[in-house]
Amino acid sequence: MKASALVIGGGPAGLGAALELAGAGIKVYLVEKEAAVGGWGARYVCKATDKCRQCSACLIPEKIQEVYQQPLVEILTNTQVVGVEGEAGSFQVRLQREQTLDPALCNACGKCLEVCPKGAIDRLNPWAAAYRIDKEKCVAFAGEDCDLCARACPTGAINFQRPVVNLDASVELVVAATGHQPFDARRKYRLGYGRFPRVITGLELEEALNEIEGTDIFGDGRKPLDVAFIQCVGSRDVQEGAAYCSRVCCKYALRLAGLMRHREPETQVTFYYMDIQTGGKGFAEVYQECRDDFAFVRGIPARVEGGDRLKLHFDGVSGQSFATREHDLVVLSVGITPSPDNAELARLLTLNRDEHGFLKGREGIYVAGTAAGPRDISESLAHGMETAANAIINLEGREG
Amino acid sequence: MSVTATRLDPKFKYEVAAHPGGEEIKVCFACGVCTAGCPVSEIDPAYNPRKIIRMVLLGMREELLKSDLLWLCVNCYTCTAHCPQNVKFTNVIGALRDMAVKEGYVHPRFSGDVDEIDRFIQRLRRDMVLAAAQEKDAPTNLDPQGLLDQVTGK
Ligand SMILES: Cc1cc2nc3c(=O)[nH]c(=O)nc-3n(C[C@H](O)[C@H](O)[C@H](O)COP(=O)(O)OP(=O)(O)OC[C@H]3O[C@@H](n4cnc5c(N)ncnc54)[C@H](O)[C@@H]3O)c2cc1C
Ligand code: SF4
Ligand code: SF4
Repeated sequence: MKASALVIGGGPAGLGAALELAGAGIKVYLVEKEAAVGGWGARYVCKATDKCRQCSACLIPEKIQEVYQQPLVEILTNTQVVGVEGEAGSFQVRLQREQTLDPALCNACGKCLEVCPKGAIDRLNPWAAAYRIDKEKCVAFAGEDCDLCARACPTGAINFQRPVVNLDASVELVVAATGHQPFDARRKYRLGYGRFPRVITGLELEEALNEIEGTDIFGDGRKPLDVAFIQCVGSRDVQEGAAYCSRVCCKYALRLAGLMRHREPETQVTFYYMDIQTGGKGFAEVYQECRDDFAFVRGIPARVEGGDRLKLHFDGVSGQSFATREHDLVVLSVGITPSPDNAELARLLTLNRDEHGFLKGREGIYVAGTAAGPRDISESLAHGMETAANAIINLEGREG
Repeated sequence: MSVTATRLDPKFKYEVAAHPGGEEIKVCFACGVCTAGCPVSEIDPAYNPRKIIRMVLLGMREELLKSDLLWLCVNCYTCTAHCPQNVKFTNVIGALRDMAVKEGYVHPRFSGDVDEIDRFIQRLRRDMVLAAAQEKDAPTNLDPQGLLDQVTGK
């Protein structure tokens, strides 16, 4: 089919959509605002113990590779969509690419890394082929005079004078796969996040375990041996405007706990969770696999107090009622919340949002993955492919 | 407070829900955050907001309305502030107290007596905190009983 499509967002949903569209012969502009594709999941750890736990983290590098090998997909990193006009079957889109560090020229030699005084250059995720400049840390982006990295780069990949480029394209359809935002745990002041260093989020545990072999995640020799996981942080919470189940937290938390225990068999794990009322895939199935390995307390703690150890206040119910217990690491299983970009995207693409703030598609503009609502990696990938397949059918219908 | 039901009243939860502030009771999903943050539960685990809600939902009318535990709440609204489902448990307790009075489980006077105790405790607390504050920059160990005797003039 001779047609083109714009896919916004290079997470699993965007990768799935791009591959499906290209598979049907459609030219795809895959636009990613960050320096590398992969989305959140590209930073997650493989949670295999002595066997694969099917966490899907490995699906991401696999799909990144596939998409780079697909000649019909043009991958545009560091790029934003700034304008969309027209209607289904004929959209004119304007893209804006920031190209201080040209990934096509970067060969990841690391010379820039050595000279940067601010540590502003890194790899967005382990699968990124090129480095990126973290604009929050780089002083040149704050207006100061510094071009040490540009001078150190042997290939000329870094150039602060290179202008932002505008790219215009005509496409028949658009897929918004712009993903989600993990819940901001600082909003739960009473759970101690941001106040006590040994209270961390599930996202931080994912990243930390991905970086090291063992469980000494703070690098201070104090391996956490008594770990608490608090579930539903920012999910099933009307007060936080998140009256839905995030569908992923139970699974990733149980698997992360399993991984910690596999790496350090002495690790004790306690799960603090709610009365599970939403059925579906998730806690129940993984719970069956590991309920003998961990302790389960049916009550969400109200408060975490700091100190040498962390003290949790909770209602233990079964004969215990109000109780406190100490742990040496508290992991907040943060959920999926709508991306803060959604308001702007809804305006740009003339989309509506649902009652929680997730995007809803319209004719010619489709929404895939967690941009549309909570999903895990394999569901997001499948949703991207399915959405693209529907888009192709609609396009064929219009043309035929 | 044991959950051995005598007679169950399936309409009880609707009555409580009809009370101002009691509306959300049916959406409670028993997470236990209310109990976990309650200062009364902390000193007396027999007082358990999550359990009280279960009892309402189960229709344990008589057992609840005659229970002394209803009167232990100090109206601090911590449970209400924490509840992810916006159940206003402090108001639920208020509704149960109203019903207990109206249905003759307690003498109408008793409700006023409890308010009087609350005010007395608040005055005592103020006096004790201010007395303790006199030595706030010294590393003295707190002796609540001694402090109490001091402010009550024993
Ligand atoms: C703490 C945590 C742990 C998890 N662990 C697991 C797990 O172990 N297994 C699992 O299956 N799932 C897990 N999940 C769920 C998983 O993160 C999601 O299913 C997955 O990331 C969703 O993919 P996505 O493509 O929809 O969105 P995302 O991963 O959010 O990707 C969206 C992409 O779009 C880009 N983008 C956003 N806005 C724009 C824009 N305006 N323009 C251009 N590009 C844009 C982003 O930079 C990003 O690359 C976890 C979730 C959380 C919160
Ligand atoms: S905090 Fe709210 S939802 Fe949780 S048990 Fe108490 S009343 Fe129910
Ligand atoms: S309002 Fe009453 S039930 Fe709620 S936390 Fe305070 S004392 Fe406990």
